[in-house]
Amino acid sequence: MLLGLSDGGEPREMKLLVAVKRVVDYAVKIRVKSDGSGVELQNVKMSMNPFDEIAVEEAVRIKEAGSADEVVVVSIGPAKAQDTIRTALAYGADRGIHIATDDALVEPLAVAKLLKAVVDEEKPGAVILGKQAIDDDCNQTGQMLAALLGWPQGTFASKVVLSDGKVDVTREIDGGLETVKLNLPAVVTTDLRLNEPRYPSLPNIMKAKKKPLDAKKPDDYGVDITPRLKAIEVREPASREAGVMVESVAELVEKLKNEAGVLS
Amino acid sequence: MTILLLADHTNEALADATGKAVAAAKEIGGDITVLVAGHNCRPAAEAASKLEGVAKVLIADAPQFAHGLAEEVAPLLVSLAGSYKVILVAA
Repeated sequence: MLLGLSDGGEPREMKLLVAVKRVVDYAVKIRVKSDGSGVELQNVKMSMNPFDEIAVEEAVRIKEAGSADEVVVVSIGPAKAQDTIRTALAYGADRGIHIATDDALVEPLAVAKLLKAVVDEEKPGAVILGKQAIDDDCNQTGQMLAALLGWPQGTFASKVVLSDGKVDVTREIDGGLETVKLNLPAVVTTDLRLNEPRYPSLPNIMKAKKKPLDAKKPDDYGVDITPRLKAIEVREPASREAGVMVESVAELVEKLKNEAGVLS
Repeated sequence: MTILLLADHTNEALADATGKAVAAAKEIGGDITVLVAGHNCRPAAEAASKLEGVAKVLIADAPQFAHGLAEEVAPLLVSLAGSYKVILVAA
């Protein structure tokens, strides 16, 4: 099934673009470097950002349902980001693009600019991203990309339903759920409840090794990735103080009034 | 320091986050202008005008702002941004 795009032209192939980031694995106990310049990354387990796993899973499901023809995965990062792309290919994505940035810090705005350049080349019908990376929690790339492209955005998606030239995105918001109807092409960012990613089978992991993976650099797209922000300090949150056992209700009330300041 | 603060509101009332954002704006220091973009949002704008420290309230009342969609509010902010040093929004 090919979905027409809203430009009213000939139906073309529906391509989905998904971006994935290699981050510190969610289960790792983070340690702040003693000089406060950042977190310890040496010998720490790295994995695909969990929200990006959900994005890849959703894109592959859309393809399996017949609503898309190709899933292209892009990752911006050091050489090892290629492993992350291979994982996405093992989920069922078709082709990968690695934009090599060595150990440079790449901020969301730079990522958004690079993704825009990839979009301009690949012309996908939709871009699916994780809502945020678990290392920086910025929650900016999807929104910035939509703004740079002038495309509509459906962020924090817990449900994505494609129809002819449109997508209904149900969003998780503070008050509950909100559904927006967007014209394609659009940017969607995924939230936790959208889907449960598959465990790639061994045959799919082997097949992934043979799928195409293009190596690129930011210069190939004419994008300046120089950071605009400077981290001044990184430190651990204040440690939680031990609780206090009280002997009576009167003591509890006294503490709530005079120590916690929550009763007048 | 001129600060433009985008109000978080339900048209009828301001969200708690707006008061907290104003407190943050006061820490930055300078003239605080609150922008209330919504539909039939006069009550929220009036509430904003009563917040201590707010010098001016801008109200953009039109159907397209009813749901606070980024596609509508962002261009509005961009059109105003040039006159301010800081744009503040509750996360």
